[in-house]
Amino acid sequence: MVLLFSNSSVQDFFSPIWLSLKISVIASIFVILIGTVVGRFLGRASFKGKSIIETLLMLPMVLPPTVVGFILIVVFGRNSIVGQAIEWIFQQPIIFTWYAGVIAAFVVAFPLMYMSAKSGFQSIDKNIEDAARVDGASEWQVFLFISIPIASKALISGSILSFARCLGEFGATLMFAGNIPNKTQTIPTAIYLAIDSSNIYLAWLWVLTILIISFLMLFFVQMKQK
Amino acid sequence: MVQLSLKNIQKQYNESIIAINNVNLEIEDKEFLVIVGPSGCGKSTLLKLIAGLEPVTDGEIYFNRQLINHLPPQKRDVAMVFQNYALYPHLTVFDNLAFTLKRSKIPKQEIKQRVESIASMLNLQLYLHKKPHELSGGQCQRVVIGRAIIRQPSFFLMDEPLSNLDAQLRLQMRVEITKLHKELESTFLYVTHDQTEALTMATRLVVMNEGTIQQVGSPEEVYNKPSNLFVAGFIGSPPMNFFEATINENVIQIGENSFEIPDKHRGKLQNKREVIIGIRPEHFHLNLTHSIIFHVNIDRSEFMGTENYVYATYNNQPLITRLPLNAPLLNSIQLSVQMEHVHFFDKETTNRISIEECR
Repeated sequence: MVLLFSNSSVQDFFSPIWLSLKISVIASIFVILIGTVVGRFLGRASFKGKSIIETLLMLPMVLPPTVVGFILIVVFGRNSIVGQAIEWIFQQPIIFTWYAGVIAAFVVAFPLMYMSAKSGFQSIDKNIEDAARVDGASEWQVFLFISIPIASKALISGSILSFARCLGEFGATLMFAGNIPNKTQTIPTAIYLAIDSSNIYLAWLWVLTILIISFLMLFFVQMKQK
Repeated sequence: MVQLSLKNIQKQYNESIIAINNVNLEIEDKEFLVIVGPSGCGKSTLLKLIAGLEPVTDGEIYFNRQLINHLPPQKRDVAMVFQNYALYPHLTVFDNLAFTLKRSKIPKQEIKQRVESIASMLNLQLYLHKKPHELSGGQCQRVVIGRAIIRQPSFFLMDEPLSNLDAQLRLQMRVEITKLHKELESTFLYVTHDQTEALTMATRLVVMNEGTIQQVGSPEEVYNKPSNLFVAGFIGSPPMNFFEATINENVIQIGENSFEIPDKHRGKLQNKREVIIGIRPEHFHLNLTHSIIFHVNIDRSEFMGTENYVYATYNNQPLITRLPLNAPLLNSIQLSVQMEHVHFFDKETTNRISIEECR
């Protein structure tokens, strides 16, 4: 217990929480924005190859996290073209940085947001959007003032689920961003390491933290859906 | 003055589905044009093409002589009333009415004034702060109409606006829309599958079927001189009776019965050997003063308040007629029809054979 309250252990405890929140918030912002736009576009569009694109977007949801991690390493690793381009532009590789955590969280959370947004937009009566067009609204205004507010329930649920998924991301993050304390260690990877090194107290604290955050978010989604 | 003109309009969804086939139509300024036809005849699609909500596959749309094919709906200066209201569910009645004004960047004060004046015109003052789901069907309908007229467009498109209302409210709204047309002095293009609405509201009527225009004319013209079998069967309730007949020299032969054609009606008829004749239910009479007599067997009758609808059989074919309440409904009766009330259609082309021209 004494150990728990020393300065360094306070930092040990809070560091993964802050990092988890930072990665989840940033990844969620991208997931929500891109998922909403893609959900709206693919929800209404019909073109050849649409099913293939949709399947690819949904794939991370069913793949083992190790497979997602593997693919991310192949695509963004130091030997790939993308990885080398990033290294050339930013003067540092992306793998084993917290940015890698953001990318891993984005990839696994995107399908959740995309599915919610798409079904939200698809359930809007097309005549309502058409009425707004006839009433003088541009496509952008229809999207902003009509489609998004009407689909707001689905968008909010999708956003919260995506954030929760980002927060809980473990496998792909471990492989692609690593588990470096104070640098890339998030709550799930920290719990894994704490148990591995028999630091049960710390594991408990993190477990409780993530339980409370996740419970509150899912509870909010349930309330919203009523 | 012609306000809207449609030239060779074609709408195809894929290679096999042709929704609109070569439609040509001119709509005059300030008229109340009603397009009527069964579901799936392409009438609603035509409205969407005019509003710019869907692109035409081929053909041209002119608005005040300007080609508007390329204009998006925002720039077409038309207002549209949708079949299922299509109110913005997340906005209050006030914001629903104000939506289009806000898009045109009109000052807030003026928006407020115009919304309030439309609300008082349509008796909606008490509902301005309610959301659409808190309103009754009739109130929703009035908001939809208010949303359309608030912009003061010169052209209104109405897609079956009364189909969601109950019978009594529909009658009331029918009168209100006709009144509105007179007050606004705008052009109305109104789509319906309900022939009563079509006949009572239209200054001019367009009958459509399977993506093509079947007939354009005044309600009286369409009812009294249907241009083909489809129009004859579609307009009129109960529908027109049809019988296959043969013309032999001066005689019309229906099954085993034959009637002589009066001299004044010969002419075109003699060339046509196989025809279909049509007689409206109200044109059968109990007094046998007319030249064509039908011996019919009565199957059943329906009391309609002011008259009876009588279902009978003639020559093994069903026949519907409207008879006065005091008519004797025996098993077998005789009915007569005036030659002027018999419609002739070519059996092959199904087009009307005009006998009036031969008088």
